[in-house]
Amino acid sequence: MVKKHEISKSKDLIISSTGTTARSEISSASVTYFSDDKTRIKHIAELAALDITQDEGVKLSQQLDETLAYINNLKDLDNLVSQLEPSSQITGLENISREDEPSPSLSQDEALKNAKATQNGLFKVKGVLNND
Amino acid sequence: MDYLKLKEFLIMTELNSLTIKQAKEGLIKREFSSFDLTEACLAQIEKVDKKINAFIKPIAPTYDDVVSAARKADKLLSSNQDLPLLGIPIAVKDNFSTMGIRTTASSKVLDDYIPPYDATVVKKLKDAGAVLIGKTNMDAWAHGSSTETSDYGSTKNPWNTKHLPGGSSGGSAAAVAADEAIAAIGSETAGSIRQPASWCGVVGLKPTYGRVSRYGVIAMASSLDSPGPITKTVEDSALLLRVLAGTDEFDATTSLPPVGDYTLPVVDNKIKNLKIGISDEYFIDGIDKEVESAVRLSIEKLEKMGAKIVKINLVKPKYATSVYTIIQRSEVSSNLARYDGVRFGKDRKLFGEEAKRRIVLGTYSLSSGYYNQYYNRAAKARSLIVNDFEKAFEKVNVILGPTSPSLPLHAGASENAAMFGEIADILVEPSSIAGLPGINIPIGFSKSMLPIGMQIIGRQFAEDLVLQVAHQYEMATANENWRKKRPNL
Repeated sequence: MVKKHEISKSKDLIISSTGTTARSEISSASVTYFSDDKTRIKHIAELAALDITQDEGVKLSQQLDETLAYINNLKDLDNLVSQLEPSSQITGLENISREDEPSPSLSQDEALKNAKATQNGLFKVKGVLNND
Repeated sequence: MDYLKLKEFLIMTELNSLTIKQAKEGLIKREFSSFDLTEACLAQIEKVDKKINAFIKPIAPTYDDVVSAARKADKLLSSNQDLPLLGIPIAVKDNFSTMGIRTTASSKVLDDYIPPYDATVVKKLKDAGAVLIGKTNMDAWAHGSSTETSDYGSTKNPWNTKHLPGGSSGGSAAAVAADEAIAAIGSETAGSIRQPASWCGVVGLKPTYGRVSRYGVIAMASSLDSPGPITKTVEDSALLLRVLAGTDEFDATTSLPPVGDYTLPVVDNKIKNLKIGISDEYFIDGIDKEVESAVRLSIEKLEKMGAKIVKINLVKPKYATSVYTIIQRSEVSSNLARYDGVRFGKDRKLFGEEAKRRIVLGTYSLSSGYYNQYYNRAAKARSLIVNDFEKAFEKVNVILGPTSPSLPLHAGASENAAMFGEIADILVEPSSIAGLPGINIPIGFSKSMLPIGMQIIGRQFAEDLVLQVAHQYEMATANENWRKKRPNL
């Protein structure tokens, strides 16, 4: 099992060409969030909108560490990949677009058919900005 | 003849055990109807599916709908319509959206979801005249290699129901192995077609990423997901791929090169002087000895057929496992974010343990402060693996190796194994990450009568070559005794 948080905090802040400042600023906050097991899983669960019980949290935290320990082997490749660009896809396709022409789509009824709650032909959702 | 007698008769005729090619011939010669063929499959499902649970219950579409589709096909057949799959009963994995037919991806979150449209793959099957016979069980959200994460009970391996069928397309592979359908559709992110095909002793083809549309497939990892056929023979695989492949205006990642005629008659001596790459790294530590010797024996057979065996060195698969784990879980956490119970499906509370585990790691690896450490590092290593294959394909035409490092494992093996799927698929992950086509073909059985498979990998869009090599191997070994064995259900 990997020693927890052997990952150095400062050097992991993102220093990429995009979004450097924003990421770095949030980073210092999230490092605290991840500073111990309980808050780490709690914070992830919040970000991912998951309900996780305390028992689940303990198990997930342990399994997260197991998985992180395994994938840390990628550090072995650091020298080999330092000059490589990251690949987020392998198709080589770029900017596939089409004319912006209207065409038939789902009817309102069809689109709403699987919704648990509707009102006046619209999806009904819980309040987002109020607390009740 | 009354209905029960008809069913007994159909089981006797074993029409359900035919391949697509054989069934087509019989249908065209009017030896039997699509109705007979479909009833034979339905009778087999009724007989064996309580033992192997390859289909999501209640089986959808309904009996009446299946039969009316078969009758419709019979009408077209009688007017000499020529469609590539006319009247052929095909099972489809339950992560393909089917208009008006429940689609759960084996998760309770989608327990009551009735899609208002067809996935492109499903539409293509229908347009080709196929009869959709049922939706097959899978690991929930395709997360896993066992089907044990299904919220509708695990599928069992038809060759030995104490063993796993593999996954995530375990239901499709088991349905084909047990002759419950003439063929089936699966989807692979990394292993989910080839590994269950290997464990169930059938042919499974993962096409080049983008060759087959993902539109309407419940997404797992969007930069990797590849739908493909699971069949009894390589010829059937080629026939189905031709129906499925092609660009799709609804999926901007579908590839532009024209679809090949994969069903062209086999050119003689395709194997002669073919350079087959073998990487010792794929015979990993801990590989099952029977798997290793069966694959090595198959390599010798290919050498006798005229192939040149070339040693190559590929990046160790364990690194691909890490790359895959990070990329897949990151994309999973993003793809599963849409399930909010508002537009369709139920509450996020219903996510199972495996989905939560993957969302947690994915959210972690994408979160600020950790992105560089994990996702970005994996994306760079992905480039390394892509380049590694490119270099290998300068020296060889195809690469060959075991599909799975183990025989089908015992039921229960995936429990509490945080990375069961990723480890089980270690030998198929590198080629998936690089978006390459690969096929599993059965090559024999263990002493314990469990299937063993071998994979053939080609460069992007080399499906035709991969299929030809697989087909020639299949032809050359057609008379081997093990091929006569059938699951005893």
